[in-house]
Amino acid sequence: MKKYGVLLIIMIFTLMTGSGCYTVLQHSNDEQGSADYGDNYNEDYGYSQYYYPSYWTLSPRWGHYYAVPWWWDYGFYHGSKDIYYDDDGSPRSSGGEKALPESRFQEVQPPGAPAITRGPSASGSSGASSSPSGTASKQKPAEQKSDADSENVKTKEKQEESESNKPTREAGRWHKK
Amino acid sequence: MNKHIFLSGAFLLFLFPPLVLGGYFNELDEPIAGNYFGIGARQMAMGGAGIMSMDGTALYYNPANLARIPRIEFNLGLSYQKYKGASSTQSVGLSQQYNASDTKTNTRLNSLILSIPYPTYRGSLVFALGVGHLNNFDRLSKFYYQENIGGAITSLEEEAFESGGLNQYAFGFGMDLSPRISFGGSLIYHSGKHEFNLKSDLYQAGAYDPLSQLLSYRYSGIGAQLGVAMQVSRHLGIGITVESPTSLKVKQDARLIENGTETYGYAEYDIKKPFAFASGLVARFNNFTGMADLNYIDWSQLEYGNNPEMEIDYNSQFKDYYREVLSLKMGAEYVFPELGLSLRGGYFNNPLPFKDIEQSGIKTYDAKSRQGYSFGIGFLVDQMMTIDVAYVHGSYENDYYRNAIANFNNSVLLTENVSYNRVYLTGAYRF
Repeated sequence: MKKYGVLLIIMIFTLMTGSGCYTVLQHSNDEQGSADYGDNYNEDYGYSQYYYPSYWTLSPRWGHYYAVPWWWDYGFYHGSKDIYYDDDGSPRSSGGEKALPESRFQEVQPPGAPAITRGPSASGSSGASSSPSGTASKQKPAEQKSDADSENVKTKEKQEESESNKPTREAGRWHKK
Repeated sequence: MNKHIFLSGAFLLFLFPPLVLGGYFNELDEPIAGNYFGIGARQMAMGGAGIMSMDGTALYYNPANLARIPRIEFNLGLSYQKYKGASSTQSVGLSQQYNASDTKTNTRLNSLILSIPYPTYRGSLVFALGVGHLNNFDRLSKFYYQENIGGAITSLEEEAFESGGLNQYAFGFGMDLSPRISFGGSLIYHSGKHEFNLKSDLYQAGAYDPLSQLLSYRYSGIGAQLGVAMQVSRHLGIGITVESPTSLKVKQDARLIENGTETYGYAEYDIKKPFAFASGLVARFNNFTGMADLNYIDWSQLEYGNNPEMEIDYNSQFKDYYREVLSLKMGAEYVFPELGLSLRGGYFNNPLPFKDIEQSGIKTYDAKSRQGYSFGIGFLVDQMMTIDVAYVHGSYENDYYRNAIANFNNSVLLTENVSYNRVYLTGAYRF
């Protein structure tokens, strides 16, 4: 039985590292960013919100906290940090910066992810809806601007990049054209 | 309990003279079979259903669902059990019944799990490390029986305390294979202890013959579990797990005191636990969640190993005394989102692993089904922390017919009623 177990582990490891896997890891020093990977997962389903109870994303009590990956808080995408809501829905933030209720979810959204809206949702259970954007800035997270003033500029950049960096799928892996 | 008799028959006969009422159980009574305890207050409040749960306990229920944890989570759980063993004995053909009962309480660490999601662009990859107390050996049996033999009362009083359990130290991962399918696995190191302490006092024609016995078993072994979870639709998810066969190394120390004379013994052997399969279902509709698990294991495939004497003499008997078990666990949860409050309830049917036994047309052992109910409550504290409490009540009955008991003349009918109340307290913090 031990031989079967070892063989199984080798096979699984080979499959996942050799032919690729749906899950794509993120490295903090990766300059390519998620734009290269065409987040149809996020576009189609939201970040795992497909699985989650609707109140995780809709209720201020939950504040979306349980449904948001921890690394979104630490500026992997937009430099936002440690922002979450009180039970009554009022925003809080660390570092003395006040976060707006609506801006929090936008700030923690990865490129290509659907914009998450609060309150009664058109989608019914998750409160998530898709945004047209499917790409992200190619800047390192540390270099990214988090100022609200730059949001419009960034959005425009993303839209332009989405045309040139449109991903294709080839031999089980995702490649940039 | 009869495992102790069984072992004495194997190669420690000089140490363990046959017990009397203590010999009511099946010949082979391995505590690793059928003594599932469960972890996680949320899961236990829902009848023990957890295959599709999305917290750190997925490390044990279904590693694939670790992929659903988006934040670093620390999970700590405690359990409390009050176990009551009650029995009644009577001579066949006589109406006089003798009753005895006692209770035993234990408080133990139930779970300690750290789950760490790795940052991903797409999909999910989550690692988890922890320890869970999934098998519990805490148990108590007490009996009293007497006969009038030749004008003198002969009586026997026996009480057996059992304690311990198996801790599973596990490392596992869960990852998304597609938008709807996740896969996970875990390596599990089983480690635990089982202690059996028997006091058997025989009064016969004015003579007092006490006997006490202490058996200590240490278990260790490595196993693995694989799991898959699939979100069929926004409202429905299913999962399947397979637990590998696990060979546990057992070291037994024995001590017997009879009439002031002490004797000791030591033995080593392996016990091989067979494959275990489980499937689960979750349905979510707004604030309502329903979950159900089916677990299957064929305990008749238990085997002794690494000890030729035991393999030859007793492996063939497992199929005579043990059976395959299909257990059902189901529960529901309703959440009041604005209050951060969850109410839960559940039901479980977890049959004993023993076969009914019939000898010469007489049913000598009849195992009634083990089942129970549960309910619980959960709180969300400041978005980051959950505190869950569960109460579980279970019970079952064993009926025995003992044809030949040393020092007595009559056949004995023995009924054992077991009930237990458990409280689980689990806190989880998401960083």
